[in-house]
Amino acid sequence: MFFIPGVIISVVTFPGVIVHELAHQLFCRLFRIPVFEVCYFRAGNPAGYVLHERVERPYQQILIAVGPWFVNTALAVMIGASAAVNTIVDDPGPLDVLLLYLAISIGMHAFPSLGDAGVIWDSVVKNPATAMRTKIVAVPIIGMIYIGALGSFVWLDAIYGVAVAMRLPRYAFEAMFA
Amino acid sequence: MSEEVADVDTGRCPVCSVNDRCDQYPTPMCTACRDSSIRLAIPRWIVIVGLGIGALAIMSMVLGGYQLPTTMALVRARAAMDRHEYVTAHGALRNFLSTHPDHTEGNVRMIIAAAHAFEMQDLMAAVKVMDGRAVPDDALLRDANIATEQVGYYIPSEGPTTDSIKRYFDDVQSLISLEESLPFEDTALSYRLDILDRLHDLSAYDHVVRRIATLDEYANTGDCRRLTMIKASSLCNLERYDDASVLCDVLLAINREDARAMAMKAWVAIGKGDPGTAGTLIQRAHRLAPGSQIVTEARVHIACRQRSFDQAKAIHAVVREGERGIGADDTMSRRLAAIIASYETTL
Repeated sequence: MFFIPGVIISVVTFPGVIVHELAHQLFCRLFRIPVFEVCYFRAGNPAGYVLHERVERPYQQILIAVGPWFVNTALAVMIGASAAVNTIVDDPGPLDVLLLYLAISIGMHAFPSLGDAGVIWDSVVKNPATAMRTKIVAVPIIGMIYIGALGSFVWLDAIYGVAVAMRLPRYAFEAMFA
Repeated sequence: MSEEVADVDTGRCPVCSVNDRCDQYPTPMCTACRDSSIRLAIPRWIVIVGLGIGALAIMSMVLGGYQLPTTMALVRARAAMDRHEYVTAHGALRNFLSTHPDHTEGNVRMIIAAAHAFEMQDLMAAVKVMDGRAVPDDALLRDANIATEQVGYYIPSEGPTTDSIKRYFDDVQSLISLEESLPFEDTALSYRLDILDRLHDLSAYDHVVRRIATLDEYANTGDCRRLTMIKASSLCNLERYDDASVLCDVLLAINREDARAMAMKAWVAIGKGDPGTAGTLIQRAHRLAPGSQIVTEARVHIACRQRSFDQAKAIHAVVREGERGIGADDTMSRRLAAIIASYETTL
């Protein structure tokens, strides 16, 4: 397993970072939470961020934090689908390569960051006003975010990106028409 | 990453410093500033790039849409081959290769499927395309080699033995003597099988098959499918239906759409008194390979067993007509006539 600094990975896969931050912003907009500043991409750590008002409802906080998982995954599948299906018969053409690059980049950044996990921990789990059932939902989500972050050391994020951008559309197509 | 900012406590809206703040939210802002923060503009360049990516994705879908039927055909062929349904795979590959005649994987799969489905024209066409071309998939290449090797058992090379087989066409004893003179080794197998196909005398046929059946390493494993098929047919003739059924299952495990094995299973079913299963199997076998000799032979056996001699004779007449039409030898019609005559005598 070889190591590449996170900043370089973020630069190479910058479309995914942009979509990740956009997803946070869109979920804030969905719940009518004011957003004060958005950095869609920068060559640093973190590669992007969204500053928003404190969220009073815990479920909204959880969904804002994990929003990129839904948005990035859906976009990766949609953008990669036709290119992935085209590669069943032929080697990918330039357009397919471009779309697969975009789809994999976006899929790679689907996992919420450790910063997102920290926000859920502070504002949901540590908040005495949060209902126990919400905490029970939040803790495994935080656990999964940490597993995703640790997994990125063994390229779990890249594996996930390839899986949702290339494999999932192909398997779905094959399951439908085989 | 998303972060929260701390509450700010001022008399007026801390953002615009003009309007009164609204205190019912964590951040004390005026309603106008709150609304504009909620709807914080997404930069125009992101919107344009996003629309561009969407347009590319749609373009890819439209371009790929033209290929969709052929992509579906290849996917169906792969799935059918995974299920060992080579007749279905052959049909799908025919569609696929009509638009991608040079496709490597498609042609290798066609070699395998056509060999199993006995579609020699398509097999030869695919072999011609693949001549001298590298096949990156080792497993597929191995399957193609095995499939073409099996086809080889059906095509003995021209030579003195083949000439003798043709010369002794009506001479059962000479054919048996010729078979007995052949060495008991792989190279003679094709000739031996060809002799078997020429014989139309049931007792002579059984005589040769009993000798060949001692070559169990071929006959019982399906490594030489033609021999396994002949052995199963012989076992049916001898009414050893359970043994024949085992061999049919060996063949059907290799190709679930093996019409010949299916026909013999039907023959086994009628022999064991199950006309319903026999009818279903023989119909399917006839649909898959209407011109197959073993299927035709099984149809006649089933018809005779059900005392439908008129139907059996009609099948025989069609075969004889076909032989005359193309000027072929009358081995098959003679064999069918012998089968019908033997049933008419015994039943």
